[in-house]
Amino acid sequence: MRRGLARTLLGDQKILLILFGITIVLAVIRPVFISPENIFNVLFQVSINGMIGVGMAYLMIGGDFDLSVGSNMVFATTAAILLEGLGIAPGIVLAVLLSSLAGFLNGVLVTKVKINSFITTLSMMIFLRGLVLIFTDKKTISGSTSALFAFGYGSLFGLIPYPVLVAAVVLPVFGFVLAKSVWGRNLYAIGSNSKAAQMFGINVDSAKIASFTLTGALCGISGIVLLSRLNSASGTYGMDTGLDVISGVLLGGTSLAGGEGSVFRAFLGVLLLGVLSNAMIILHVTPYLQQVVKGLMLITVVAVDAYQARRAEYR
Amino acid sequence: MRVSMRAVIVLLVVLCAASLAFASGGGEKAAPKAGKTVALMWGGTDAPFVGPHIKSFTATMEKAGHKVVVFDSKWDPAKQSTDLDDAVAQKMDLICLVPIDPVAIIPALKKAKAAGVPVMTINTEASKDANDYIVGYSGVGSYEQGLVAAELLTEVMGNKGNLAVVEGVSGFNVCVQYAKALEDTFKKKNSSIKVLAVQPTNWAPAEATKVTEDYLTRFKNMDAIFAHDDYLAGGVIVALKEAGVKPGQIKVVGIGGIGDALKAIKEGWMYGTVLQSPITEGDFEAQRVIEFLKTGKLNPFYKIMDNPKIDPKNVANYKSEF
Repeated sequence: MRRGLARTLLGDQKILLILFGITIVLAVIRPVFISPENIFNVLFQVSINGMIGVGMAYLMIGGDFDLSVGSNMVFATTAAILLEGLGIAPGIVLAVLLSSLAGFLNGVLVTKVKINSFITTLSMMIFLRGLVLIFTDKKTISGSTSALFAFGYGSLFGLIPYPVLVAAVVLPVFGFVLAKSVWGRNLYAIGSNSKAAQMFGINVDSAKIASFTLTGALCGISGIVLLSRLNSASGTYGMDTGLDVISGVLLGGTSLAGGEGSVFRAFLGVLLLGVLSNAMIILHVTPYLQQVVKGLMLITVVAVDAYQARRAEYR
Repeated sequence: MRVSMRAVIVLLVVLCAASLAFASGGGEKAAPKAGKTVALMWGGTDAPFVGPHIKSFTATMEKAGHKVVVFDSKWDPAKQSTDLDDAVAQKMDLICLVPIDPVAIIPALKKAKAAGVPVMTINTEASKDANDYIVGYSGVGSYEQGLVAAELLTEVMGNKGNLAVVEGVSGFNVCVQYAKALEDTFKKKNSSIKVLAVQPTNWAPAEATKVTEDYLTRFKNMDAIFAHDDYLAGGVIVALKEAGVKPGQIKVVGIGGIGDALKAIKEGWMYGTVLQSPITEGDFEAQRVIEFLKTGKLNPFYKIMDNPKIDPKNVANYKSEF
């Protein structure tokens, strides 16, 4: 039975529809919304959460998630500043490696020590943030050179911010890996039914550890992007990142139960949250109401998803 | 009555759309043709001080025919940086910014200046390096305020004893200035006051209660507590009362001059505070904005309000307004 285009769009591409809807409405009532400056602002704002969202998508499809991403990101920023003495590039590489190590540890704790991902990553979140507070002595520390600003504030053709370009490379590459590689397909299987996947001969532990490590690495890269913008690090940065990214990925249609989703859809969800925030700022919605709207949207989309999933079961 | 899932979904969607429409349409008065639009960018809107400030600032601005757009950066410097970008993209006539981090905001300020959108810092200063990129500062002289608080402390402690500090946010410029003012005053007066500990609270009174409970457990010889604002001092007093401490047994000094603090001074729970009315401050800063919108510059560049000292001797002269 073939479904019409309209039903497919409404059914599968809610997020795209909502995005188009918001864009068109705002383009008419506040044209500044579609000015190139605003568009690239929004793209920059979602590039950090978008990159971390890639890792989160891998994790959630495999049936896990990671609450420590915000702390891990700030940890990388802090490490990069403290290691500047070794040279800017070595400092950056080392910082990303350290974040990857934190992700790797998450993976080992979840798979080998068998602590669930909520407790593991919650503990890692607190641990890393504590490390940051110790290393920054509870103050804000600054990088000594502004060499990175050229990256953080620079743009290609004077229009496309470099951090957006980094995200524009990371997303398709890892989207492709998730969709086409053995690792990716294993994750879908593990998320759907991890015992069955194991009996099938899939190395569940390796796949999960790799996903956690990837997420850690992406947090490290995001931490460097943050550094290139703020040239400083403090224990108060990135407090909401974990929840924002998980909300975005959920919004995009990746289930917490695992077994379905994609990098593209995760990015759409993160993009929608970013566009919604931007739209509300442009519409001059008071900050107090912005949270209410975001929460309502999240619940509505997830509820519609759950409803459709139940109906699909009975077809 | 069985409620169908479909009905629930439809209800949720309608609620969503309605709240968005209400949020953007309602409560907004269009600025008259000659009126300008100004962004009021607070570091965060959950601290109790901010609500009355926004109200007072907006009231003064709207009376002069201008519009105010409020931003809330949730105390995240990275978010404030991107929020500033958003405000610049909307070509605001003036941006009033409370910098969360005195240094992290500088790159975004540079960008704003390059885009030709003027920025005035308010309430809290950014680092001096930011001065090239802003049109001025209006608000509280945090260091000067700290000096008054330090004076109250040395007075009530007899220039000696053990002091614990209940801090706002680590690294927040205001708090850094208070710490410096205390240090400088103690040095100048050759005091032997020892600072036992400094703990941050994110400006949350409930956190201040917890921190004070910790202090009471850790320190058996604490003479005084300095709270970075009167709301925090309120939280401190809750912990003192719970622990059975008598009023005046441990001296408490705060900053702000809120109604509860005036009451606490009269009852002996607090020794003193420094007046910083959000209502006065909102109006003070709005007047500077109006001056800028009219003349295109701020004269002088740096203008701070007075910091009246309130102690048991003069507390009767002050009314509780906020």
